[in-house]
Amino acid sequence: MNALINIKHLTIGYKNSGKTKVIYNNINGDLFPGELTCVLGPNGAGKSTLLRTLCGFQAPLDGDILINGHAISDMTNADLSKLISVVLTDKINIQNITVEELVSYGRSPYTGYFGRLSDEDKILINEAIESVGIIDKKDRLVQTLSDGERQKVMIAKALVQDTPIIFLDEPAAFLDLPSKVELMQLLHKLTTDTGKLILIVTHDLDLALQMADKIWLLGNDRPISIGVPEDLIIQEIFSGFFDREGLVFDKRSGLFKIKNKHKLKINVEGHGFIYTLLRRALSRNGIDLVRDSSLEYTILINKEEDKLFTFYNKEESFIFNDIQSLLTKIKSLNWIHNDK
Amino acid sequence: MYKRKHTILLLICALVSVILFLINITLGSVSIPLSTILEVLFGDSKDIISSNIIINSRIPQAVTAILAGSALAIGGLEMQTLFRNPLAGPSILGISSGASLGVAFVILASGSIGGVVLSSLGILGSIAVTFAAFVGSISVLLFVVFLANKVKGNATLLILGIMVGYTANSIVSMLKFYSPEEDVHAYVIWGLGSFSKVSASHLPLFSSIIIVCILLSFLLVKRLNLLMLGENYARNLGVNIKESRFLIILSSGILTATITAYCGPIIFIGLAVPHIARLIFAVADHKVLLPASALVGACIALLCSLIARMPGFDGALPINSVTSFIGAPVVVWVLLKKRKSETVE
Repeated sequence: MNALINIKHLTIGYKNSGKTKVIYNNINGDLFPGELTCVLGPNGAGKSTLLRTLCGFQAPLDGDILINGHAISDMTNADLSKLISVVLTDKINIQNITVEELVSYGRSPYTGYFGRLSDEDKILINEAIESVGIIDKKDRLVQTLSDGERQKVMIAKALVQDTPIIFLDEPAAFLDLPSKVELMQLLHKLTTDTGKLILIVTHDLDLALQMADKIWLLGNDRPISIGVPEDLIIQEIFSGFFDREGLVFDKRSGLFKIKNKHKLKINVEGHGFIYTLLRRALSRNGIDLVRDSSLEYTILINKEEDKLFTFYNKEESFIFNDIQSLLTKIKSLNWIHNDK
Repeated sequence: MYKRKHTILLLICALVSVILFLINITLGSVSIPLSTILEVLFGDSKDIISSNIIINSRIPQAVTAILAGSALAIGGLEMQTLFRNPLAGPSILGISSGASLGVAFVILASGSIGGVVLSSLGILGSIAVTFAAFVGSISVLLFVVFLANKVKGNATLLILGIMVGYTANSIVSMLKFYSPEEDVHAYVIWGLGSFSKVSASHLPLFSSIIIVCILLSFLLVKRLNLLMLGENYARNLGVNIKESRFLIILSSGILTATITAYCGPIIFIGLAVPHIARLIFAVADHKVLLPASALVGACIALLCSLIARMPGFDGALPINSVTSFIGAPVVVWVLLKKRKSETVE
């Protein structure tokens, strides 16, 4: 498969009154049709600057971006409008515009001087609104929609622009989790069904790792890493990029986990789903569950309906039916001597 | 998108402006019977005095009001869309301040330097004033266009335009300070605005400039629509931002400069009419908003002109005192009415 976009020795950043501020140096990489690529990285790593440069909104400080072998610096806005469509974080604040009307602006690169729509344009607009799942809101005013619905309107706009490339900047930022998943699935489906090249700048690590065909990982003061998400996991690249206090990359699940500081340990007996949940709840409260019978206290996970946990030591024993009451009990004990 | 509702509303606005036009030429300080007016209009009147009043005074004044209202409303709409700022108006870039400066130079400086009181020169003086206003406003327009090519952000350009306006106004106040009282009075009168300064002989030139510019502004509707999305989205949809900005400023600027040159700085209409049009038509598309603003602007200007010359007032009131007095309550009323209908829904 041939790359649709080639990025060669790209340096991005800003030039302001003679001063140059380099954000990222010497980026090299290819983007392929039919692939969903996610650009990840901590705040300030240059994700948005990269996107703006790829869109042609700002000139690169050095290097080239080629689409089908042609440098975008040689193209006009009109040329680019038929190759790249964007969904940005810019707030749309237009009163009295219907969903259909706003989506129809996506046809602008193909319409004439007054923007008159042909019957074919109207069919495409309808299809795009349908494919993002808001056909029932076609005639609604955009100002009456939720943030998530507005985002879908802008994605429909990008779809009717009918370009081989779509760039999205934080498309899921305002969405709840089900909508985020739905959106990513929609975008992934688009890449496989239509062969579009889709690139998303996102903060949603978990989703990106599960849905993306490729990851571009930007970090402060390190070269960009590009690859299939699982490869990057195998190569242990993630942990380095987001190394922060309180965050650990769990290689087994391929997900980031919150690292809790544990002050004390309790022995546990039992397995299964209840164990996982109990472990998580205790961990959040600074208690590490371990399998070490030499410890003073033990929690026994029973498989019985109304006595889920038995919490005991040599002298006493308690039965609890939920985690809340168990936690209350644990916290009420005097733990001074058990800090190891 | 054009809908039937919009076409009907546009027709209603056109009808209202025709009615207001007829009332404007019917009413005035001299009462002329309707039959005589109809005779004059259809060209077989023997009443020379009446036909003189109607043809040389009332018709030019009403036509000027229509054109000024339309032109300023379009100019204001263009600025509001370009800067995505509801408080922008046609004079936001200092164009009418430029006109004021030109006029101040002619009226005030001719008095204090040349020793001539311009107001005593009659018709020659009024041509000089129009010319000075035009030169002043076009100079500022060219300067702003030059700046528009230099600076990147719209916000920067907006602030620069406002600064140009302040500078012009400060020079005007200096000139005023050193001028004799009659000259200052003449300048103040000019600044209050009037639809009656375009004579029948000037009307063809004035109308053709304005009509051509209004028609040309319709070529900008697609760009204006896309610019509503913000610069980035517009650029991504193929809009050449610099070129569009240049054309929009030029269009709005020439309309404003011409109106200001002939009528003085007319306030309020350019700022408020686009809002009234948006509220009445409830639409964002400039294919509708542009003609809507033009027609609503014409209606408001005719209404103001009518009120300014109401029988009972000694002479005519200055237009600017009427535009805000009538316009502001209209905006408030429309806004409140809209609020109500929204809560009912």
